[in-house]
Amino acid sequence: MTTMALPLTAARSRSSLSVLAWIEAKRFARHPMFLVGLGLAVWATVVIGSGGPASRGEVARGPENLDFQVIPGFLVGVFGFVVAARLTRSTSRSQEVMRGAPLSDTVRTAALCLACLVPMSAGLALVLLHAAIVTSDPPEEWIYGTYGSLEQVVIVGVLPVIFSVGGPLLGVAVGRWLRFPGAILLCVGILLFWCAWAAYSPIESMDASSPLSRVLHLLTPYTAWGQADGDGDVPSTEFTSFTGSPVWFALWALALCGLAVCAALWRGAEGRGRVIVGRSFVGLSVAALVFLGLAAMGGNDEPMVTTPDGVTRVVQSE
Amino acid sequence: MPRAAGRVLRTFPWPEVGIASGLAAALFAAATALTSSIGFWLVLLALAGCGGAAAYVLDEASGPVVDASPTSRRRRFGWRLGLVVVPAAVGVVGLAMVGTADPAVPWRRLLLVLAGYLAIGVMTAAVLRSRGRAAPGDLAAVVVALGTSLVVLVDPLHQWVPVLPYDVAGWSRTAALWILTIVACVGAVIVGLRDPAAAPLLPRRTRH
Repeated sequence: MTTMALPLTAARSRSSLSVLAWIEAKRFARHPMFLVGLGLAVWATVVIGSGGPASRGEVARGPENLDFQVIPGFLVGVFGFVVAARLTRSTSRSQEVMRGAPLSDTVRTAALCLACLVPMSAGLALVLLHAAIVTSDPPEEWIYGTYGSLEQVVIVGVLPVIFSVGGPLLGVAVGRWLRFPGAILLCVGILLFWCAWAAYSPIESMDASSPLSRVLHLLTPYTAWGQADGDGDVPSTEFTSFTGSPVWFALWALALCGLAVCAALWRGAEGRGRVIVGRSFVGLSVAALVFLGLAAMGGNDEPMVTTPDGVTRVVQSE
Repeated sequence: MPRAAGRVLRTFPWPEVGIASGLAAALFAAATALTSSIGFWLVLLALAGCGGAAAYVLDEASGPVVDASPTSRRRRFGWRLGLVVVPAAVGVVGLAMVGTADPAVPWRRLLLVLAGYLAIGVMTAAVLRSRGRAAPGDLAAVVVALGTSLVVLVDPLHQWVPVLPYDVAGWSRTAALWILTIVACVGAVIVGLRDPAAAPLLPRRTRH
């Protein structure tokens, strides 16, 4: 008996991918955790965008606009990470049945990666909602610290979208590689710790102008760009802009998204596909390192404080 | 008897509880070692990790099989609830460590929050268990860890009852909130761990 293996034609493979991606996108969009995260993100965007108590004249409006990125980053990015990891693992659990289907692991993983366009669209919608709110009631200029108009657009408009898609893409990679119980919780904990530590600790605990501190501040998928001295109840009197270039950081974050896709596709890839994924991984790693270096060298050399009268000065180290 | 106890202990989800508790312990250690403003956030994250660990104690992969055995769910889960001691111990020791490193903050008051997180973790697992999931830990742990972190950070009721017990004036109200939460969780666990074949709590309405 002769067995013949006929390769799928490119056109058929592409149509299978689009069908599967559509199915996975619907699963993603209907996942309760994604919907809860998105609902909370809309609520937080409206409350923070409208200034909360400040809009009612109770306290002065704080420099919360540059912090908007944390809302899509946490509520869509981290929640999306969990959703993507769970969806990926649910597909893996049906491995025995799936093997009978005429689709490779790579196509199924690619479909899951394409489904991450759903949280990306959600992140984009949140950015537009926030922009509409801020445009109707623009905050004072000093709350943007030393950041110019392009950097403001990147921090408030581009990075939130990248965080919204990056978290779920990392979730697909984790779902493909880590199968042990507790893996998702462990990864969420590590991710949150890493981001929280890199966002503030190098600036606060080290010489913020040193190259090591500047690299560590950006060696993360999420970082903070500034800090105000006020909170929801006490009005801010100064805003500290952190080191680094938001524009190059956005490219670094995009490269990380690409690396997450490559890591997810690598598992189970065979033949020519494996070679392409491997080469892409190496190329993206080099690009990511270059972007990280440029992000650390660009922007502020050291933290700068801006006050409501528009005066900017270098933070005095203790 | 010791052999039976050994068999029961072997069925416990040690690796899952160990991983989540280890994560919480590492976060407590980081909060103690780091001297930046994220220490407080790390402690909250560690407490959420303890709650997540508690959500694994009801995992019973062979649940549908052993549900048919003469040992009731409540009896089996009564043994398993002892596992909550692991994340509880991590939380108590962790808060003591943080309290020693930073005596200016009343960290000990967070013991009540720890108890609340553990109760919420077990309650979420019990509810998912009652809905047919034999091993609800993976889902419950993440939901509890993210959900509790979010509630504490947003503090939605802060005008009336602060979620974190720092404000001296609002301490009694915060304590009451957490005690109420724990009591509600215990009630939900008792209801959620009923055997599937047990008589319903409320008599079913018959249609005429």
